[in-house]
Amino acid sequence: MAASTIDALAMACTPLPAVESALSGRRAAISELDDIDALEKKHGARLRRFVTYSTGDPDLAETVAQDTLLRAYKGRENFRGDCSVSTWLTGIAINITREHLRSVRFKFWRQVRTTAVDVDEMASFIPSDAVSPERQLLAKERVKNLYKTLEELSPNQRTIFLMKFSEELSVDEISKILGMGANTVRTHLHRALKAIRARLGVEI
Amino acid sequence: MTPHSTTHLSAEAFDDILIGMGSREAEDHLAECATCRNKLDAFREDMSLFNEASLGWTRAKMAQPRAVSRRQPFFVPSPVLGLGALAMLLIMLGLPTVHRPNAGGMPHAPTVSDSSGSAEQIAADNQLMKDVDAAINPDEASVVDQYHLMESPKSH
Repeated sequence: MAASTIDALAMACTPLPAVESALSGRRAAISELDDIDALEKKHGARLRRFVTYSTGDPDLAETVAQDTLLRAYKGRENFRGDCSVSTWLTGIAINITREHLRSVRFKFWRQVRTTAVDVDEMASFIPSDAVSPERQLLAKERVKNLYKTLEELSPNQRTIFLMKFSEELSVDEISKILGMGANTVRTHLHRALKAIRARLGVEI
Repeated sequence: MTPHSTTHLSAEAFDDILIGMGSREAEDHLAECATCRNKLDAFREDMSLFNEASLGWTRAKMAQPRAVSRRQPFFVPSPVLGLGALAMLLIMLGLPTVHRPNAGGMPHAPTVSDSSGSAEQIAADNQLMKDVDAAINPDEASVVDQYHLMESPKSH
């Protein structure tokens, strides 16, 4: 990733009120960014999940996750410490995903390699201790329906929904990472929630 | 419904709370109304289950190729053998082109169309590529159109 992109992402991070806090955060984060193996261990699965469920393409997620960690590692000096490493990585991952989606090469390989998320398999990963056995089947159905609804959302709605409810970023963080107005982000979230309500029959 | 409230939160009010921009009134109602709180918790529980399941699935997928790569490979090619195999492959691919009889015509530089079959086949392939391209991303300008790939080749 170009240094300017990393700078832009660094600027996108939500500023903390205290400068000292930001400086200490930066020191800790740079230390974290110095070890690419530790980065992979700590953030690899989360990045892959985000890209997989944002694009529906586990192969792309693998590529993007590796590129993201490598670019973050190479550009770690540009990290300003005014947001979490996790937020910074998510921003880089989004930019790399966009680059891939734009490329002709991606489109070619996407038609060749038609791997996809196996939603039944995914739903089987619901932790058995999280819900009672009686509710396990119901929970699986709800998770599958949620995934199917996400598939039907527009790419922007899906990505923003996942950034908010899976990555737990604030509207302002999403707005800055995507370079999109906060009101637009909210609109996408409202529409996504409306679609989910309609699909799941959730009375919210 | 609680004794303190006569109406429950609207869908929009729930969404605002989930998005993190709920009004003071909505938050106050939520604190009092178990019905509304349960609805909100139901969504959060669904999201939590989805997040855990998707992360578990992703971790399992990540573990698969690693497990394979840890195995001792059946055959480890040396760099010399690799280069030899590459040379053989290049020779095999190159021979048919080099020895193709060219019945008295002018020698011509190899082009993509030389090995792609008839004009009809090329047109069919291009159409297929265009359809696939459109299906993958209908909102984006087709690469086939962008680079005029469907235009018939100019005669020399």
